[in-house]
Amino acid sequence: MSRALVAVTRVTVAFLWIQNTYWKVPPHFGADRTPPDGLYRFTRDAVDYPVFGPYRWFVEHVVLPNFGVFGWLVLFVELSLGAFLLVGLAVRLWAVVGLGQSLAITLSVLKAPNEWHWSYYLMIVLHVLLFAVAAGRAGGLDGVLRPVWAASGGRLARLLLWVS
Amino acid sequence: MDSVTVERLYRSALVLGAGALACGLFTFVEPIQYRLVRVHGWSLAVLLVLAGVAIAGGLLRRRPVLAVAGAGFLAAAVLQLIVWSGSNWLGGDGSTVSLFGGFGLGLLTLGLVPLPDAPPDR
Repeated sequence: MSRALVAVTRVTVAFLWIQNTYWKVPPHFGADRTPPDGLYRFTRDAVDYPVFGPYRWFVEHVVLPNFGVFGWLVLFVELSLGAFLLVGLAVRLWAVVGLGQSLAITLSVLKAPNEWHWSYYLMIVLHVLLFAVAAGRAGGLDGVLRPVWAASGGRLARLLLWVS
Repeated sequence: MDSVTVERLYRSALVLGAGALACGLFTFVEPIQYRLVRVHGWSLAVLLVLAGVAIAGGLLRRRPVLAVAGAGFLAAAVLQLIVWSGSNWLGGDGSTVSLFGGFGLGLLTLGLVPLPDAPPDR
């Protein structure tokens, strides 16, 4: 029962990332709209409604002037989060990535109007939880493949054991 | 490799295939903001066909078939990403890319992961 609930939680978090890729449309990610929309607008919130000074400076002087690159980076990270968490592969690694991405989102929009701050705290703790319980071992491919990786003993197999 | 692990590998392929089939049901969810993944048109057809291939691979216990399904899903994910902001004739979006990518990675891993030989009986 507990393992099934862990699997349900992991897949639910995966769909959180999967669904929220639909509005991050390349190649402009909303920067070409008037007023700006999509990923660009939410990223800009870090400047308009700053949460943490150094992060605001980083977004204003590094991220926004190079938004084409950062837009693709965000899209690939979130596409991958959805994909890996969905099937339960290398989940501890992707839980850490998800934690980092949740922190970045929190630092961007926490003080923006009409945001419910608990949404972002919950995103953060959910990824901590996925890491803590090694959620890929419950109903995920990590659980199926760890014995194979352990028996194989190769470098990649040892790495996958470590991140699962 | 022990038979329990190999059995779990094929069972996982069946679960992934069935999960992919189930995701086709999101097509019927209204209103659209409640669709956790958006698949319709050609992307739905690709999803259903490759889910069927994955299930067949699991039932027939053929790892090359799983690899074919996985490679197909990954190719479809890349194609969807390419056509998304243009003609988008596949009919999906980023959620489709992520979903296809997940099933592709999972099935390809199950199909290609090297299985060490079982130790000889004494």
